[in-house]
Amino acid sequence: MRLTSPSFPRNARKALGDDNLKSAMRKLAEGFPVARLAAIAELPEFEALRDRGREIKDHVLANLDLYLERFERTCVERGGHVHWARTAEEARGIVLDICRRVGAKTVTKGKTMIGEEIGLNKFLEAHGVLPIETDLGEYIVQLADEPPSHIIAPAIHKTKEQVADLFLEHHRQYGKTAKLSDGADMVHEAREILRPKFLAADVGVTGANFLIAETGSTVIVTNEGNGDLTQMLPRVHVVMASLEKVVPTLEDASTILRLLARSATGQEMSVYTTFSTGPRRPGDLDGPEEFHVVLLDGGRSAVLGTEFGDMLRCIRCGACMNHCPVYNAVGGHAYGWVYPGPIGSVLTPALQGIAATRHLPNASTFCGKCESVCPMRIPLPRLLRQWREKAFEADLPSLSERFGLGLWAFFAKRPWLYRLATRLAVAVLGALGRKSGRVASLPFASAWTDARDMPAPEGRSFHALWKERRG
Amino acid sequence: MSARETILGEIGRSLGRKATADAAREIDGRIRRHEANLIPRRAADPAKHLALFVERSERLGVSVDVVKDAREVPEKIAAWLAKHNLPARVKMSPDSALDAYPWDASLLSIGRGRAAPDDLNSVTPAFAAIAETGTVMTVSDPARPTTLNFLPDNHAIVLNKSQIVGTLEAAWAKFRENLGGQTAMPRTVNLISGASRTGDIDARIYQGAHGPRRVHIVIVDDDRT
Repeated sequence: MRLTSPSFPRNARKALGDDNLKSAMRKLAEGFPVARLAAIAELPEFEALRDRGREIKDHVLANLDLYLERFERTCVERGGHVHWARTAEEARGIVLDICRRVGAKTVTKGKTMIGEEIGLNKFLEAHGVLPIETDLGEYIVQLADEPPSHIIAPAIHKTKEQVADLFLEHHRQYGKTAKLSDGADMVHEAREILRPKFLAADVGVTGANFLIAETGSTVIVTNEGNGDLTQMLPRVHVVMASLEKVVPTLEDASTILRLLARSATGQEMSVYTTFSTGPRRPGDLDGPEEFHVVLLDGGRSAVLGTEFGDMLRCIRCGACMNHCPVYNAVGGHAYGWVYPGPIGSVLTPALQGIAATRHLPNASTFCGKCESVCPMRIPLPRLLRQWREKAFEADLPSLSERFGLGLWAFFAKRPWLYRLATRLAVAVLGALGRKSGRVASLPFASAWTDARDMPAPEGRSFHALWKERRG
Repeated sequence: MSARETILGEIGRSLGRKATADAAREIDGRIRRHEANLIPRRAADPAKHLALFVERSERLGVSVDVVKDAREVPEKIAAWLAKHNLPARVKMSPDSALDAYPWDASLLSIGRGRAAPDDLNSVTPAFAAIAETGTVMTVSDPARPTTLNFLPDNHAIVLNKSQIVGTLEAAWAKFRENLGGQTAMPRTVNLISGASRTGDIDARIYQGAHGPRRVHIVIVDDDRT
């Protein structure tokens, strides 16, 4: 996928002015976080389960090579094929080779973020194989020729009206000429149009939420059942997974499953959790004849064991973006690559390099909400801060940013001067905003005050208050 | 160097070690022990498994019948189809476990085999049911094709009360018992928690995205105690 992270500030400004996006994103904030809280309230062990989840993943990451070798062995024992890919390019090539060998014309796709990461759709299309997204959200963004804007709700940025227009435009060829207004009708129409495509596809590509070392199984978690139809109907099932998806046992997957859906959509379990182990067995009446697993590194092995290693615990639930004030304001596309939100701002620099992505770690208010909801307890604010440091060390920020930071450092190192300056600033800003309680414009900070007012300080500086409290 | 060797080598370098025989033995032991991690207390009392399973299923939008007599199963499924104005025609797993029910006495027209694209209704057995979350576990084999769980619009599942366990971990244990402690996974294990749904339009939940729009469960109370 093309990286547009270098223009994050411009992307974000554009997004802030998009009223459709604003009304679509409001629904996100009202939906998932509320459902998540309700689900957690019913499971007293949730916090303790988060600790266990973290332990499982940390243990796996510390022995990743051994668990991957074990997964490979057990998967092959059950008749599966395991392919290793160092890069996106290698992974794309592996999938195309499989498609070509079986003479595939169409490929149905369940949701796979690795597929997005390696730009699989465009690549297959360019080589004469037609990929068809079957997750409703992925289908919508495929029609719109856009990337997903959320890792579990790919079309969250689209209003119902926009979806109706897309369906009208693209479903005309199937004789559907009425513009729909009811969401249920749209779901039904997509079902009707995609059903024959499931049946006709030669290859089905899905992602994987887990790989089980013990049994050589791959696991997908969905609500629609599209992933299952994708993998059981075509002759060939190809699973796209990144290295860190492996867990030791069925029991370990079960523990993490208790965290996954609750953190994502607020469900206790997603509707369908499917464990797939090898191809069709003798006597089976259905199922794929070939079972392939593509293991993508894509820069992850180099992150392992570094100060950024914690990000590899991520189980892709999306809770961090659901709760992020920045993500909620600008949506997923502004981040400019596959993974948006706080985890995206940590992953993208690691997988695509900090030089092109230096704005992403700044797309944070450091409110800490992401870490507080992460089921795997990934210290996202710390990781974001570390990326800021890396960017500064690499001399990436612009002159004015460096000047600003230098100025701040000058004061910070001289406490008496710092106190004097903050006292002055509080007094001046307080006076400026005395009438309305707000400051609507500030020199050098128009990027901030153009979109919102700054609350005017009331009374004294933090230092002054602190001194008084402590006596 | 192959991609495999490069990746495994890079991982070893990043971890700052070579994979030792000791580490391999530790991994092996952990997998062989396959210990359960923290188990929530919700499903701790086996006496309440049936009630908990029914409550959780119904919260997922699944309709449930509990019958005392296996002979009632076909009529319950026929009644469910009639209630939703559906034809009295089902495609059923060719599983001998389902032969225990008197299908001939009902007015259902029955086909056995995998699901065809135009099969509207299916009936399948379950391998286990999980009280904690109202989840049904099915497995694939020659008598239990997976397509029956997904292609038809309406899916009826038949299970015995004795198949209900507390947790997913207990279901895995059952699995391993059947297989002498080994874990030879079936090709497909499906955990089904409700009917197919989507939240991809307007961030609202709509039923019947790609899989079944409706799920009905008939539980035979085979508890003889």
